[in-house]
Amino acid sequence: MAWTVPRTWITGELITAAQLNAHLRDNLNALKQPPSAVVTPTSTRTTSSTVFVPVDEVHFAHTLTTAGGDVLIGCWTTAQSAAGLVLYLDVAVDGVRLGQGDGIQRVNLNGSAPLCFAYLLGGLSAGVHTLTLMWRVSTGSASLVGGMTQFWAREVS
Amino acid sequence: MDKIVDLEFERGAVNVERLHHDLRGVVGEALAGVSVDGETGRVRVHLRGELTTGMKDQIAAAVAAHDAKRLAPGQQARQDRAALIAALSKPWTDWSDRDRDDLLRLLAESVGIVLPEAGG
Repeated sequence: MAWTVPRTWITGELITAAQLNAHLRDNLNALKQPPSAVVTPTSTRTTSSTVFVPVDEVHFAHTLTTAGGDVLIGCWTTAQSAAGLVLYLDVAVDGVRLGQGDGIQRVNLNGSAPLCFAYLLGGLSAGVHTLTLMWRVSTGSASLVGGMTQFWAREVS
Repeated sequence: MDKIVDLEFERGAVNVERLHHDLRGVVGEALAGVSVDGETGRVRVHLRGELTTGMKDQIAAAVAAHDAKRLAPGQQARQDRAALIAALSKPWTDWSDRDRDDLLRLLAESVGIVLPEAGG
């Protein structure tokens, strides 16, 4: 449901059904159901990549048509590795990563550990955007455990 | 973002670290890594830069020949270390000079003052 910039009403104006539907009903519906997407995969993903690559460009990539504003991006997971290493997570927006060289979150792994982030992406322009979860490791390989991982995004303003 | 090219394959069980080791031997530093979906068996080989047809064929052959039961050197080193620690789990009176040397080496490796004897 698309968002319409609310009308500024003037004194004595005759309000039509179309205006009420557009500015009240449709906007309330838009607030109730903002652009959002979530994936909770059941299978485990593993990587040995030492440069940032998509976790899975099909399932861990959300395409949102936004009205313009802030988007909240979240991920929680259980990460595991048999080797002592560093796992880095990041999010790419339309192919451009948000983080620096280490991404937006890193963890030293030697066994398994919970990972969780919520990233407020401010001022995203209106339109179609693709948000992709990215990852890399320092050495060895690491996994995001299936059934214990979720990646989501929702426009919040 | 680094320029990364993916090659995709479908296959059964994969030992990611071993396949990474094998492919590093084929394409060297052009290999950025390997990613696997444990459910579908989809394997993505991440590579830096442009690839020749010959390289693609070599990578495809290495993926096809991959044996998930074989360990990468790093995995073998971790397995050997675990076995050594298990062997040292015995009464102190049973320890030999060799056991004490082994423990000293493990401790020295763990604090980073000597390099591991194998793997990595």
